[in-house]
This record gives sequence, C-alpha cells and structure tokens, in this order.
Amino acid sequence: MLRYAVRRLILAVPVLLGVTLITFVLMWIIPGDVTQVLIDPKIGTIDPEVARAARERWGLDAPLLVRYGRYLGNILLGDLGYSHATNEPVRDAILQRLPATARLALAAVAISTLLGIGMGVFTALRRGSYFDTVGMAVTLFGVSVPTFCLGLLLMWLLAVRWPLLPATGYGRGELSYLWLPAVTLGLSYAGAMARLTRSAMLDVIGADYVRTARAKGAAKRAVIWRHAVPNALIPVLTLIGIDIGNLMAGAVIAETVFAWPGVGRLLADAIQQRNLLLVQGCVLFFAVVFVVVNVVVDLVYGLLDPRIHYD
Amino acid sequence: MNKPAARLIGAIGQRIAPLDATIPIASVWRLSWRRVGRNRNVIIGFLVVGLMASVALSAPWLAPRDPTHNDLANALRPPNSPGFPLGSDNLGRDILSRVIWGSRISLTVGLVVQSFAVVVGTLLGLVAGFYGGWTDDVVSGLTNVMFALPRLLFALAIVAALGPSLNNVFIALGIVGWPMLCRIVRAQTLSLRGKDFVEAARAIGATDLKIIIRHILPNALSPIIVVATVGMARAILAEASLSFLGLGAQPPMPSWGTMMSRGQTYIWSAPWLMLFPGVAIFIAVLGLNLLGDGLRDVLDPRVRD
Repeated sequence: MLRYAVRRLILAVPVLLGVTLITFVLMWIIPGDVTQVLIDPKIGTIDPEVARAARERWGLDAPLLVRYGRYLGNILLGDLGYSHATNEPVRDAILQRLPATARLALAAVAISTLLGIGMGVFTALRRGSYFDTVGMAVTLFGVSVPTFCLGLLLMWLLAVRWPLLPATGYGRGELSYLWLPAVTLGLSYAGAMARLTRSAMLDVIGADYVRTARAKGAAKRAVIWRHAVPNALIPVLTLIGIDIGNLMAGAVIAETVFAWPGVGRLLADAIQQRNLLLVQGCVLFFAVVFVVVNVVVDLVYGLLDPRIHYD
Repeated sequence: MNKPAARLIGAIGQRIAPLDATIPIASVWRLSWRRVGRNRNVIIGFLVVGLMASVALSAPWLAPRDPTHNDLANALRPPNSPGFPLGSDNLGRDILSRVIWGSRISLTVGLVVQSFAVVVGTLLGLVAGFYGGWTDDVVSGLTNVMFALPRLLFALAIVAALGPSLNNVFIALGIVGWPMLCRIVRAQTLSLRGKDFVEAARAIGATDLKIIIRHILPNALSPIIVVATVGMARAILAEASLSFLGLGAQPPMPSWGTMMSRGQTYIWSAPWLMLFPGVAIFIAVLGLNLLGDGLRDVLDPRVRD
C-alpha cells in the first residue's frame, strides 16, 4: 500500500507541473499587449514610459523559460499576483471566498452521492421493473439539463412561484440560502452517478462471490449491502473524483445564477472584468484542488480494493 | 436479441471469421442495422436530432420574423400573443424565431467541435496505440495533463484569455474535446495491435498505414461513434453554459445560452424569456444523449446489461 501511495503521489507531480504550464500559457495567448491587460484593460492607451517600467518590474521581457521558472517559484511561495480591480493579492481574494465554495461543494457532493447511489442501487435491484424504467428516464433527464437551466427552473419554482426559499445571495450564512444552489449542483451530478452505480451493481450482482454468498445462505439484505454494494461503489468512487472537477465548473455557473459569493463567482466576475491574474489564479486553484482530490480518491481506492496494491 | 447472435456480433466485431460459415459477413452490418432499427432510444434520439437538424436547415423559411429585429412597441409580450406565438423578449424580438435560429448555432458548435475532436483524437490515439514507445509517452502525457483540468473550466479559461466570442468558444471546445476520444481509440488500438489478424496482415506484407486504416480503424469505429455522439451533446451543453456566462455568442446573436442569460433579469415578470430556450437546449441534449445511449447498446455488446 505504501509503495502504491508513494507512486501515486509521484505521478501527481508532472500533472501539477503540466497544469501550471497551462495556466502560464493562458497569459501568453492573450491577444494584444499583455502589459496593458495587466495594468488595467479599461484604460485606452498607456503611457509608453509606464508600460516600459511595468514590463521591467514584472520581468515581462525575460525569456519565456525564465518567466515560467519565476511563475513556478511564486506559486510555491503562495504569490499569485495582484488583482487590479481591488488591488488585493489574488491569493487572499481566493482564500476569502473559499469557505462559501467549500460549503456549497460539500453539500452538493453529499446530495448527489446519496441520491445517485441510492437510486442506482435500487433501480439495479428492481431491474426491468416500472421503478427502474422511470428511474432511468429521470436520470437521463438529469444528465441532459444544463446546470443553469435547472438552477433557474428551481429558482422560479421555489423562490418566485412559491416563495419558500430566498432566490439569491448568501444571507448571513443561513441554511435557507444554501438549499437552492446546493440542490441544483447536486442534482446535476446525481444523474450520472445513478447511472454508473446501476451498471456497476448489475455487474456485481452477476459476480461469483455474490453467488457464493447467496449459496451459503446469507440473508438477501446481507448479500446486497455486505457483498454487492461495497464492490459496486469502487468504480463509483472514481466518478466522484471526476465529478468534483465538473462540479467546480458547475460551481462557476451555480454561483453566478444564485449570486453565491464563492470562488466560482469570483472567477466569472474576473473573466467579465478581464482581470487575468485573478482568472489565472482561480483556474490554478481549481485545477490543483481537482488533482489533489483525485489523488486522495485513488489512495482510498487502493485502501478499499486490495487488488490494486501490486499494480 | 438472442445470446448466440450477440456473441457472433462480438466475434465479428473483432474481424474474426465466423465459425458458422453459412452466415456471410455482409449480414453482420445488416444485423446491426436491424438492431439499430429496433432500439427505442436510437429511434427517439434519431428523430429528435433529425427534427433539430431540419429546423436548423430551414430556419430562414420557418422563422416568422427576423430574430434580431427590435420592436420595442411589442416588448415582453407573453406567449400566445398575436404575432408572437412564444412571446417576445425585452427588446420586442420574437422568441420563436430566436429559438429556431438558435438551433443553427448549437448544432454548428456540436458538429464542428466534435468533427475536430474526432479527427485529432482518432489520429493521435491510433498513432500512440499503434507505435507505442516515446510517441505513446508524449500523447498519453498530454492527455493526462488535459484530463487534470476539468473540461468546462479549461474551456472557460481559454475563452477568458482569448476574449469572449463564438469563434473562441469553437477553439476552446475543440482544444478540450479530443483527449477523451484519443484515450479510447488508443486503448482500442493497443488491444487490437496484438491480435492475430493484425499479425496476419503484417505477415503478408501490409504497410503500417494499411494495417491502421484497413484493420484497426474499422474495429475502433463503434466506440468512436458512441463517444462522438455523446460528445456532441456535451459540446452543445458547454456552448450554452459559456454563452450563459456571457463568453460565447454575443448579442444580438440568438444563442440559446445567451437568451437565457439575458432572460434571467426577467425571471420575476417574464419567465418565458428563459423557458423556451431552456426547453430547446434540454431537448437537443436529450436527443443526442438518447442516440448515444442507444448506439452504445447496439454497437458495443460488452457494455449491454
């Protein structure tokens, strides 16, 4: 297990380097003069003297490789540059919004996992029944509705038509504000989760060890919950890891729809203002979280499934 | 579909001559076709996608009004108003006409982005899987890094850097679209490379190119078709999401995502501004997902339950 864990951690290093390379290149493909965008995209023309001073100060004239090296060094020191809109460090802007996003993401993951796995298991057990057909149709709908459509629909139903919940905002952190964005995000991913759980369950139900458990006379409930479900959840766990990535993109949208003050909304606003260092910082933040989450998922995977150890 | 026939399809899917010589190879495709015709998901999906394509193609004749024509005297008419079957938006533009024209944008995005993804992904996947070695290391390394960034977020970042426009959405979605196909084609190629029929082809002196085109590509076609169909649905979803965030099609272009984004302001007073483009996106994506699901069932016997 230790060897597997170390190997997995080492494998994450080049991926993380690749991610930083991508966010670095992002700044490099900006059309027009980077200096102007970095100083303030809204100013028409910048005094050439100012531009020259800025290029010198930020080291923009150095060779690309040197600049990438500096970028990496700065990331390691936790320096992601300044947001020109608020003149605060990008790192602080992200950290300040982090709790709201974490809260939303955790709630959404909980909703999608409980709902998805529950539906997947039950539709698989009643395969071919009316319940299964309807359940699968519902999940297909879930997979096909864009997050923002679902969000706006829920907002219209539960905040406009029947005003049960606040439509947008964070309030003072009350739970009532969390419901709409969390359910929107959670439902967006529950569909895929349910479909994968169902097919994994169907695979497992036909497996030898389930037949053995049944043959030795174990109660049906024990066969399902002790033997079948834990094994079916192994591929589902990987999907949870991947889904966290989709969830981050979804968070950008859900936070925009519901005016939720998280990192996703920060990113959306930064894009609108062409605040590129902030965009770069947020993307890097999401990508790093995504890589870390997937490393953790793989490690848990290794703990759950002894077959993976000697890979 | 009975078991022996399914097994036969599986065997011939690998281009192994059928043991039962009374069934000619040609009938395999016919058999697949018959299964396509019998699969409910494929039929519904195909009808929906076909309908959408016809609407998109005949938009100039179908749409009752100019989708970008402002008519402030008739702003915010509810659905079922005279002259505005689905109502009008805040600038008095006909929502029906805009939804009809919007199908062109969505369908074009889906087609263009996926064509690019299929060509690039298949080429790289074939080369990486067939030759292995450093080629494979480079391609696999690249796909791994691409997978390290969530797809939509990556596209968002690219459009953010290039600047918001529909063209840049094409570029961004093209860039993030191919790794999935590449990975699948590569895996398929790897498993086919060592098969007897490839060895046989090599033994009679076939060139690498010929082996790839004649023997490996046809066998990798089923997963490509399935992934490309579902990928089209994802591309349409992604375009709608980016446009919703104001990064895609710029006003007054009638993109479904843009329409919803503009309509959000009127959720209290005129919810139909969002309703109809939302339904359109949903139907388009659902149709493609149904088609992809059905094709997977028909073309890939292993994944069937």
